[in-house]
Amino acid sequence: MIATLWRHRGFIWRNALSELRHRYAGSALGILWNVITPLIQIVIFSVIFSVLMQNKLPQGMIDNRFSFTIYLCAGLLPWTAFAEALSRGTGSIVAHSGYLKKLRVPEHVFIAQDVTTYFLSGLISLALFVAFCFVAGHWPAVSWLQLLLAHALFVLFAFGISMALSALNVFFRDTSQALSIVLLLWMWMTPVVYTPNLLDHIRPIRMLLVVNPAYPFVQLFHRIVIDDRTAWLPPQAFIAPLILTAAAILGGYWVLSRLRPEIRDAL
Amino acid sequence: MNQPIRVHDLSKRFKVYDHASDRLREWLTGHPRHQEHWALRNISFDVAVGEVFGVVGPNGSGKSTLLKILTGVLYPTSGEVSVQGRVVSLLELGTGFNPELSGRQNIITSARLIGLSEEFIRAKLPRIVEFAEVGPYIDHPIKFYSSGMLVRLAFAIFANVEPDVFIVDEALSVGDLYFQQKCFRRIDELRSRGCTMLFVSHDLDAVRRLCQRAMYLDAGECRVIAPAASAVDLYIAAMTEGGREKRITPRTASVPAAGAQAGGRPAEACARIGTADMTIQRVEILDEQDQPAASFVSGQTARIVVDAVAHADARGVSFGIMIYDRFGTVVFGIASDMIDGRRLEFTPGASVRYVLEVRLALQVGGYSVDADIGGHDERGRPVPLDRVSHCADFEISRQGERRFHGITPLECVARVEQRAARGPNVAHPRSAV
Repeated sequence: MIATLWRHRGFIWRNALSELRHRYAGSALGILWNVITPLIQIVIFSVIFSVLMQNKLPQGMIDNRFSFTIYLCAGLLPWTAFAEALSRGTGSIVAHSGYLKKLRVPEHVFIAQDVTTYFLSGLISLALFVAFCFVAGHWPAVSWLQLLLAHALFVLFAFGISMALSALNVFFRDTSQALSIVLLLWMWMTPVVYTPNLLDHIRPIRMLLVVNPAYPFVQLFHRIVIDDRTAWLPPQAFIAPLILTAAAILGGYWVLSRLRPEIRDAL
Repeated sequence: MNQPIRVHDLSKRFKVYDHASDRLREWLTGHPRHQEHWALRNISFDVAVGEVFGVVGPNGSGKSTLLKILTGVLYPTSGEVSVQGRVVSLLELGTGFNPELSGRQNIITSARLIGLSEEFIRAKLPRIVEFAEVGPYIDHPIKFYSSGMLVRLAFAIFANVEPDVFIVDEALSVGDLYFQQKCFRRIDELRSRGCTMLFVSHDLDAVRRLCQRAMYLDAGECRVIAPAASAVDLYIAAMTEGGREKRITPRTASVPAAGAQAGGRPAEACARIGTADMTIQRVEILDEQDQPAASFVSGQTARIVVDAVAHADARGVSFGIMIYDRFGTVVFGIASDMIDGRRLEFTPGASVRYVLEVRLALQVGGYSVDADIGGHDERGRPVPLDRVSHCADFEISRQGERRFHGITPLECVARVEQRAARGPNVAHPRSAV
């Protein structure tokens, strides 16, 4: 799998870039929309939650007027990239059936291409977020470079799941429909909009965090930006996300390989 | 590497589900809920280095499925398939073009997609760009290209790769005439260079012309693998028959006494098909003095003689002769009933001689002859009785200077007139040929 991805790296990279460039093709601002959309999001969050509602993080986790917006964006922007990568990745094989019916290029190349697109747009969001923190007076540190690793792992996690789901989606188009609902539930079950201590009193729901595979990733972002904002995380912090990502990729690839002989028959 | 394409006992089954939910139930219960559609059943063939192998058959006979399995797009259900060397398929032509990228970038992307190496692409890029004939547009996004430019661009890539195995399909029929001719020229070039080819087409003349052997596929089953001309003939016969006449089978048998001097062929080259209610015993080409001849001068008359014997009652019989040039193009063909509108009846044991006197107004070159006897069954449907492909050869030899260009001298009258206003009106009537 890695060999074929490497061989097609040029194709993946170029198409991911051009997808980013042309998602808003024909619009006057073009590629700028990739920046404007997350920017507006951040501005709205800060106006509503920090200026109007004056939400603050509990127990003064950070002392900043915009602390809630920072917390929200630190989790929500990576989550958005993950969710978009996952939903696009799941539709990937069907979306590229034109190629797949003619070329022997393996399916996961196209999944990788779609996922890479959202990795890149996620990078733009993160860059804006760092800029916002800077403006808000929540000084970014060099250790924030770990955001790149966290982001990469989270998107790779989506890539792994996508390999399995996109193969399933060929046979059951319901998969991508179901996924959008699952993603919605999943987001609210993950402490992105609220802080995890909100769940402290409710034990059964608290348990959900333990089994929620997205939580270790989101936690990672929160730790880098808020909890351990100036210190490098200990390597152990990455163990859970690494294991999850590896498991998703291996499992996803296993499912894809099992279904591969029939995928193009059904396209 | 002796057999670049090897297919052994290949079968392909598609599972057809009435509802998507049936597949889910099947997965959960393990109890099959699909119908099977066998697109290919027990197909075996090998293609040798440098051979051009044809595949013919009606729509839905499994041709595309076979191609897709050979190119690795689809997976076989059972059997073995091996294709060695660099495989390029016309099927892939132009796939992967991104409208937003420039022509040059698309060449690179597309070449990568069909699996060409970076060094190869870099080395070939200037030639491909030149070949595409799109001028300065090569660095513009291809969404501004005309469809003709797109086709040229796609073709330029294919024309400059050096495949070991080349798979040609109906894509050939999409382009304009210029494109098709260019394609054929490239195919000829590849063929002469010893490139192995698989040629799948509804253009039966092209299959006859380009292929050495061909397979006739019908409903996923291989009906015959034979020399291209006879596989095509069998296919045509089966089509006119609607596939009902089971007695039509290919036979390879020599036509006795075709005469070495008149270009007799070894037995296996003379593939025959037909019900054999009447059989052709002998095909001979004679000159005007009734002497066997194999060489003529353009414009001379030849007598093509077919001796046949009836083995059963034969109704509505006509005799046919086809003349092919060295490219396999039918130069001329005529059946006896086209000449006089008569169809004949023969009883068993009848011995018949058919003589076609034909003026060989042909270009210099080698030609070959097919002879066939067609009849009709009780219900008036046409039936091939016997057909012998390439049973005799002749040659039009050069004598003096070239008399005309092309395949055949059309009857013509030439005249040069000088207009009155510019001088005296002088006409030079002259007839040609």
